[in-house]
Amino acid sequence: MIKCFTALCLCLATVYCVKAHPADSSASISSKQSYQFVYNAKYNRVEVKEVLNDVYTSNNYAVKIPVVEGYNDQVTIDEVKCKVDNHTPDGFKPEYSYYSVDDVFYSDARICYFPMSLPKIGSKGNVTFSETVLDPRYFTSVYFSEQLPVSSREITFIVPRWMKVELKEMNFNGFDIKKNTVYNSKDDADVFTYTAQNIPANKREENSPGPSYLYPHIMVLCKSANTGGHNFTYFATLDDQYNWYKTLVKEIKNNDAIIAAKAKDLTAGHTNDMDKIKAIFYFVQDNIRYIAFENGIAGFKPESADEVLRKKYGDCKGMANLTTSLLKAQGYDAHLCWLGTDHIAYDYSTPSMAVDNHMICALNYKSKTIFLDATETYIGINEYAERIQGRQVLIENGDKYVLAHIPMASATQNYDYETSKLAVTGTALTGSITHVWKGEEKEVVLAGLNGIKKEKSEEAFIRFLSHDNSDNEIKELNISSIYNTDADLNANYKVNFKNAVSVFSKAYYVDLDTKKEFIDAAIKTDERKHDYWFDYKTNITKETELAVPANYKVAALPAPLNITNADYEFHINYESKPGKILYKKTILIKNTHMPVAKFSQWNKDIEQLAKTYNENITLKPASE
Amino acid sequence: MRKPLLTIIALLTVVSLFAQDKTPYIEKAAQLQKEIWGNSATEFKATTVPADMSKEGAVVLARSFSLQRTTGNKLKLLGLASTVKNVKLTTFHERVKINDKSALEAYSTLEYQKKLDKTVSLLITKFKEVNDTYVGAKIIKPDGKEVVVNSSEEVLLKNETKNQKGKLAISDLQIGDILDYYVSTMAISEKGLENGFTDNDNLILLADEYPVLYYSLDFQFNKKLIVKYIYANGAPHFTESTNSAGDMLLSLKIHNMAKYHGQVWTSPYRQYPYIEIGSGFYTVGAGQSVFDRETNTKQSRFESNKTAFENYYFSESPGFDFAERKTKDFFKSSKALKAAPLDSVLKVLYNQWKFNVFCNYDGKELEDVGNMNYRSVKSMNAASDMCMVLTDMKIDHYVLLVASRNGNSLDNAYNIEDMSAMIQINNGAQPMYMCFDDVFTLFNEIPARFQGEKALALKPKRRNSQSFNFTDVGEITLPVTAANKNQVEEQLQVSLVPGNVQKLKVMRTVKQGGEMRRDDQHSLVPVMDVDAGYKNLANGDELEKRLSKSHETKKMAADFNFAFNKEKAEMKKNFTAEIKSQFDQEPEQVENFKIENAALDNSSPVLQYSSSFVLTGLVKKAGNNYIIDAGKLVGSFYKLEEKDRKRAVDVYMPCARSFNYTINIAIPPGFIPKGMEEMTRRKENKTGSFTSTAVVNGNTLTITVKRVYANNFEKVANWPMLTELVDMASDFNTQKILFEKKG
Repeated sequence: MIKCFTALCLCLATVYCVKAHPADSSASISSKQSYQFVYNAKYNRVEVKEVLNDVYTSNNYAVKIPVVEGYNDQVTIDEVKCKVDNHTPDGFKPEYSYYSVDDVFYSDARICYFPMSLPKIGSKGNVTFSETVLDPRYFTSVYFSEQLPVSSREITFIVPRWMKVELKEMNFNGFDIKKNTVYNSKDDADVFTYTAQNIPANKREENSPGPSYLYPHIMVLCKSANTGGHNFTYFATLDDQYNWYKTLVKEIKNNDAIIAAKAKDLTAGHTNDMDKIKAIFYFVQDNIRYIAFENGIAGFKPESADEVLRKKYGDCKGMANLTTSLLKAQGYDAHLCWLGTDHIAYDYSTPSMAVDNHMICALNYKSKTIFLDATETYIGINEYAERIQGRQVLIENGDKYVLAHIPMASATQNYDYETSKLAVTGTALTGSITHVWKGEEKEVVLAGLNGIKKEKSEEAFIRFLSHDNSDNEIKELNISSIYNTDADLNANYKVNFKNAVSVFSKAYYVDLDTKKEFIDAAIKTDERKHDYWFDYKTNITKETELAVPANYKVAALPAPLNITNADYEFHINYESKPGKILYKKTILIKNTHMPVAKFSQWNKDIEQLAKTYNENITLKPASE
Repeated sequence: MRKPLLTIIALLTVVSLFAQDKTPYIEKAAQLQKEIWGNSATEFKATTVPADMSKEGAVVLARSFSLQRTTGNKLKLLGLASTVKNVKLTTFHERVKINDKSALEAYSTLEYQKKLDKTVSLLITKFKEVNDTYVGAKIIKPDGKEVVVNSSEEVLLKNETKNQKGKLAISDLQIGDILDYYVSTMAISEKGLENGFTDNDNLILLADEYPVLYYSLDFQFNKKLIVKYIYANGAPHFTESTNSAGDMLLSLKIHNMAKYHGQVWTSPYRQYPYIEIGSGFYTVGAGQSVFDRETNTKQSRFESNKTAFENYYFSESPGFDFAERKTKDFFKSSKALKAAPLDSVLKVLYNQWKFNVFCNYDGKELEDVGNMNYRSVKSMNAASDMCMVLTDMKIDHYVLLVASRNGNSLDNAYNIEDMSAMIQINNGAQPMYMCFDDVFTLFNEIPARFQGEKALALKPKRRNSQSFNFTDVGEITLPVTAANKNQVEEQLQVSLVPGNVQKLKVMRTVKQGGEMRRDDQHSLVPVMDVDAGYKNLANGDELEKRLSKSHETKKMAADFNFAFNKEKAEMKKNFTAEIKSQFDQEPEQVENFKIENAALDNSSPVLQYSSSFVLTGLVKKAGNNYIIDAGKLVGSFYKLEEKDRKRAVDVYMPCARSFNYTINIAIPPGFIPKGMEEMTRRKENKTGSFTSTAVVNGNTLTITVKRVYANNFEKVANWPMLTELVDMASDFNTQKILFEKKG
C-alpha cells in the first residue's frame, strides 16, 4: 500500500539503492570510491565525477555475481571495466535496460548490469564504473554497506573550495569508520577521505526500518557553488529547496474551468462544508487509479489536475494536485505539500531531495489543518496511515512555505472490535458475532476485498472471518458497504465453530478464542538483525459472552493475563457470572517501533499470551 | 452468412495493407484501427451484460483471435539463392465489461513489444526479420459515449531504433465501463528459420476465468502451408473453406463459453476443450526441426512426430553404449553376465546409465548445487540410446511412446515435447520398464504421471549401424502402482516437555516408498550422498577421477568437494522445512536429523529418515488437565472446501497411495488418558479406506492411523465415496486426547 514516488531513490545518486548482489557471504568487497565536483564549462554546470571501484573476492567456488549499477536522466555511466583475476571476461558486454520498480508504471530509472563469474575461492573480480552526476542536487548520499560484506571501503570526496557542500555522517555508531581531511593546494580543494573496515552485508528483513535508518552512510548536502564566473544555488537552505519545488509547481497548467466544473458537479447537493470536502476527497480516492510516473523532472513535478481527471489515473503528486485544485475551486484553503514517509530517516532540517518521497494535500479548515492523502484508497478523512503519522511536512504557501507535522494517531484510530454471544452445542460453539473495523484495520480489510474478483469477495470475507479455518462456519453474513471509506466497516453474522469444544466424560472443555491474534508473533532473535516495525498501531478488543449449559457449572477458568508497558498491552480475562462466562481480550500495540533490545521481553510476553490462549474453560455437570 | 464473409474481407484487407510495407507505423496503426473496429462482428457492438452475470467481476462480451500466415520461397542475392519469406499477422480483439476493481487493475495497462527488427545484411542483400505490434483501445461509457484511448500516451520501456517495448495506461477507464481493445502483430521473416509447426503452434483453451459471451477464431493459411489441428476434449470444429487464391480458411464462432473452475485433482488438458492448430512450410533447409518435417501430410501430428523420432534418434553416436560396456565390466566376465538373471543385468545396466548421466559433471552444476537433485534427462535421447544397447545385448524390448496424464493425451500430442519415451523389457507375463526421468528414478519404476496411460509400443530392429526399423506393436496400457507400494509410514514417539508441558517433544521416523518418497528425496538427500551412492552401485570411479577426465572439470575437485559439503551442511534447514510443511508450524530444537536410507537402488527402495524436534500449540491446559491435539500429530490432511463437494469432472489423483502412522504418546505420571474411543473409526469403500485406533499400553498411549487411496483415477460418480474418506481423515485431525489429573 506504499504509494508515493518510490522511484525517487533511484533517481538520486545513491549507491545503496541500485546495487544488487546475492544476499550471502559468497564473496566480500573491498572498494575505493571517489567523488569529485567539477565545473563543466561547456554546459555551464557543476557535475560530480564518480569513480567506483569494487574488488570482489570470492569465498566460494563458481560464484556468480550479478553486477548492477543504476543510472537515470541525471546520472550517466561513462565507462565500465571488469576484470576477473586480471583478465577481461570473454564476451564481457554490459547490458543497459529499463529498471522496473514495483508500483511505478514508468520511471527514468535504468540499470547497467552484467553477470560476473568468480570461479575459485580467492578469485578477484575488479569492477569499475565511471559515472557523472549532471546536477549536484541529485547527488544525495553514499552508503558504506552492500548486499555482500565489505571488508574495506574508502570513500573520497574532492571538494573544490568554490563548492559548498556538507557531508553529514549518518549511522556511524558501532562501525569502524575513520575520516581524514587534507587540503590539496594544487586543486584548491579539500579532500575528505572516509575509510571503513568490516561492514556487514545488508540484510533485508520484513517490517524493518528503511535503509537510511540502518546502514552507515554519508548524506551529501550540496548547497551552492561559485565557479566559472557563475553562482549556482542548490539546496543551501530549505528556502532553496522550497523555491525549486515551487518553480515546478508554477509550471503546472491546470485547466481551471474543467476543474471548477468538476468540483461544482461533485459538491452539487451538498450544503455542509465537510460534506463537500468529503465528496471531493473520496472522489479522488475512489476514481483515480494510482499509476506512478517517475520520469525525469516528472518524478518531482505534479501532472496537471485536469489531465489526472481525464486519465483517471495518476501518482501521488497528480492525485495531490487534483485534490488540492478541486478543493480550491470550491473556495477552500487547500495546499500542496511534500513529505517523507517513515521509510526515510531524514526531515527538512537537512534540505535534500532525499528528504521526501510523497505528496499530499493540506486543507486548512476551521483553524485546523487536515491532511488528505488520496493514495490511501480505503482510509477515511481525518484518519492517517502509520507511514505518514508524525512526519514533518512542507506545505506550499506562496512565497514562504509552512513546516508542520502530520498528527500522530493513537491506537484508538485502528479499532478492531468484536462482540459475540456463544453457546455450547455438542462439540461446537454457536451464536452470533458483530464486528467493527476502523482506520487502518478497515483499510486492510477493504483493500483485500476490493483486490479480488467481485464474485469471490464474499467467499474471501468469510475466509478472513473464519481465520481461514473451514471448521469455523460463517452464515447469514451482513456487511456494510465495502465501498464506503467514510464509515466504519461493520459485519454481523452467525457462527458455528466446529470442534471448539472437546467433550470428555460429560465435561466440556471450551476453546473460546478462535483467532488467537499474535500467537505466532515471537521474533526469531537468532535470525533477526533489525528493529521490527509493525504495520500500524493495533487496537483489538474481543468481548464474548458464553452461556453455561443448563445443569452445568464452571469447573475451571484460565488465569487472567495482564501485560502492560509503554509499547503494548495484552489483557485477557475470564469472569464467571450466573449462567454465563464473560471473556474479554484487549491487544494494544501503542508503539509500532520495536527495537532489537526489546525483542527478548516481547518474546517472553508472547509466550505468556500463547500460554493463556492455550488454556481452555472447563464446564462440568452441576452434579459432579 | 454475412459475418464470416465480413471477417474474411477484413483479413484480406489487412494483408493488402501490409503488402505495401513502406507505410509509416502511425499510418499503419490508423489503418488497422479502422479495419478492426470498423469490420468487427455485431457481437462487438454489445453493451449489456446478462442479468445473471451482474456479480461477475468482468464479462467478456466478445473476443476474437485471427491469424493469417503466408509463407513461400523468395529469391535473394540477385537471384543466386533462395530463402523462405514468412508473413504472419495475428490480431487479438476483446470487448470486456469491467465490474470491479480487480478487473479494473487487470485491464488498466497494456504492455507489448512494439517493434523488433533483427534484419541482417549479407553482401548487398538484406534478410528481413521484423515484428511490429499495434494496439488500440476505446472505452464505452455507461451512457454510450465512446472514448478512444490516445495510444500516443504510451511510454517506451525500451527505445532503440530496432527494439521498442511499449506500455500504455488505459486512461479514463472506470468500473462500469466497457473496454474494447486489440493487439495486432505483424511478423515478417526472410531468414528461413522457424517455419515448422513447433514455432507456429497455437493452443486455444476454450474456457476462461471470466464468462465469454462470444468468441470467434479465424485462421487463414496460404496453400503452400501444411495445416494441422486437434480438437481436444469435445472442442467444437472449424468451418473450413478455401478462397479463390487457394488459401485455407478456418472459422469458428462460440457463444457463451464456459468458465474455468479450479478444483482439486484435475487434469485440465484432459478435461477442458481446447484446439491446437499450427502450420508448417517444408523445403529442405527451411528452418524447421526434424519433427516438423512432414513426410506424410495426411498423418496426424502425433504420427509425424513418431515417424521423426524413429527416423532421427536412432543412430549410434560416440559413447551411446557406455553403460553396456560398464555393465560387462561390472560382471567381470561374459560368462558371469550370461549367467546372471535378466533383472539383475538390467538393474546394473540401468544404474550404469544413471551413474554415467547424472554423476559425470561439466562444472556448471556448481552454479546451483541445490538444483542437482532436480535434474532430469530427455527421455527420447535416453530411450533411443538404451534401445540400441538392448538390441546389441539381444534383450527383447519395445520402445514406448507415452504422454503425461497431467497434460495432453498421446493422441493429442502436437509437438515432440508433448510425449515421452521409455523402454519395456519383454519378459513374459512380467514385463519390466526403464524410464528415463530424474536422478532418483529406479529401474522398473514408472513415474506416476505415466501410470495407467495408453502407450504406443514400437518394436525395434537394427537395419544397420546407423538406423533401425520399427514395427508398431499397438497400444498397451501401462500398469498402475498399487497403493501399498506408494506408501508413507511414520513412527512418532511423543512426550510432554518437562518444564513446559504445553510443548511436545517428538522423535519421528519416516519411511516413504514409491512415488511418495519423491518430494522428500529431492529436498533431503544431500547431493554428495547421491553421488557416492551411485558410484558404489556402479562400481564407478571416485569423484576426483571422474572430474579429472574432462577438460572442463579436471581442476575442479576441490570446487566440487567444497560445494557438496556446503550443501550437506544445509540439511538442518531442509529438515526444518519438511517438518514445517508437515505440521504447519515452525518446529523448535530440530536435532538428530538423519537420512537412514537414500533409496537409490531397487534393493532398498524405501526412503527412510528421522529427526527430533519440539512442537508448540498442540497442548491445551484446562484446569489441572491437559488436552492434546493428537489428531494433528499425523500432519494436516487435505480438507475439502464447500465448492469442491459438487463435481462434474473425473478425479485425477496424483497416484494410488497409503499412509500408516503409529504415534506413541508417553502418559505423564499422575494422569489418565481419555478420549481413545472417539479416535477409533473405520470407513472403507472401493476408492480406499480410513482406519484409526487408540489404545493404552502401560504408560503409553498408542494411536494408529491407516489411510488408503486405492486408485490414481476415479470416475466422477465415485466422488461422493472419495469425499467420505477425505472428510473422515480431515475430521481425524480435530481429534483430541485428555490427560486428566488423577484424584
